[in-house]
Amino acid sequence: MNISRRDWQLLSEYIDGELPERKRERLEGRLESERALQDALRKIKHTRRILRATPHLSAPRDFILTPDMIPQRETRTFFPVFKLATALVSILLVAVLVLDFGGSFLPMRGAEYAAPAVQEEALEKAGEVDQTGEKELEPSELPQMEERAEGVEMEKEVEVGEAEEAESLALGEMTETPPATTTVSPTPTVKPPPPTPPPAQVEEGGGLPLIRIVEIILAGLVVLGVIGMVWSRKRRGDAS
Amino acid sequence: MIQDSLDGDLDAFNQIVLEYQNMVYHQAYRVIGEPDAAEDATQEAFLSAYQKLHTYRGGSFKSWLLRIVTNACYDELRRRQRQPVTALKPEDDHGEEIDSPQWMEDPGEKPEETVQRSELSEAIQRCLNELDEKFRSIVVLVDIQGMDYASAAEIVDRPLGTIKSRLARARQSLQECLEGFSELLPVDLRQDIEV
Repeated sequence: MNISRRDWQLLSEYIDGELPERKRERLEGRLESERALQDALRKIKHTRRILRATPHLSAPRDFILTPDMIPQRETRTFFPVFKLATALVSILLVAVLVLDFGGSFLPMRGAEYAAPAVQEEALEKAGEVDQTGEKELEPSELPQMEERAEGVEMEKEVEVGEAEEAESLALGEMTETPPATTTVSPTPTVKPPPPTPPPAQVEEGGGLPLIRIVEIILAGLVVLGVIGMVWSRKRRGDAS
Repeated sequence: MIQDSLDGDLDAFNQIVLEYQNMVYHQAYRVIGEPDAAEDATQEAFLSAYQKLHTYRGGSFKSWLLRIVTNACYDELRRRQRQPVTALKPEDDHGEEIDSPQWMEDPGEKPEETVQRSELSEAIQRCLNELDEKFRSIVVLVDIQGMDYASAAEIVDRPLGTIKSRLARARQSLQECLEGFSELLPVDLRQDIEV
């Protein structure tokens, strides 16, 4: 007579002493009256006895390790490292490229913005000349003023030109008056040259910007990572 | 020896190998059921053990090692599923199966005892081979290697309840199978069945 799978498991735990006390007492009570359960208990005990009698086998040879076995396994760790590092650097490179050509972060722009600022300053200065030096600037003179933004040398020439023109205008208006310094003071017209933009800003636009250097370094790392991946895979292939 | 092995002393680790290789090979053979594959799994297990020695956190070293060899056996069984199955028994140079292989021999016992032991071993192995690997590994750990339920649960990384149910089912299947091999069992074990 067969017993249920549940009863078989109870008997299995019972013979190993793994059954909790309450369950054990209940099972022992059933064992006194149920013959099928007694037969099953005898069978499972016998099966366990046979299994415990299984002859223990000796190793057919020694399994000692030799040094040349060890590095073969260690090389396996390089490939995932290279793979992960290359992936991370590639993501970083893409991010930097997006920032660069996306236009949100550009150190070069500082230099580009510097020229309009100088132009604006020159125009303001031209206005000052108009007010203080009583000189009307012709529209044709504006480009001359704007050209000051191009360089210090050019600005100096314009300044000198302005001073001469202002002086001659003043002389024209003040007839019979010797070119005294009382009526027209050259001071308002010939102002000190505007502060030159910091050389660093201009230099940055001309030299290799920081972001380019970062891009080159990252691209180099990606190439190295790919080489490393190929190398480690080849080594692993050779090892196996 | 373990501490020396952790420091990279391969000779110290090889002392551990020599101490445990019979136990590890026995486990591998009983789970896989084929000598060559068991050898491969044993070697792989020791290599893996050497490389993972830093993960050993104390406790039973035997259990830790059995866990590694059991996993190596699963890997080997999966590999074998993709490849043609080889003969259960080892073969000689002429391709004939060897009834009493060299690794079964014990120089201290009589020839008839060797044969009897070999037959018992073969009968048990044939029945073990009929079990699914997840039942087989547990019954080998508990009934052949003598591990308790908690250790077996730790080794195969399964809950205690799973160990209990799988062990019971494995024993039931083995009991039915071994009845068919009663004539191969030693006399004392055979009498038990006939009672």
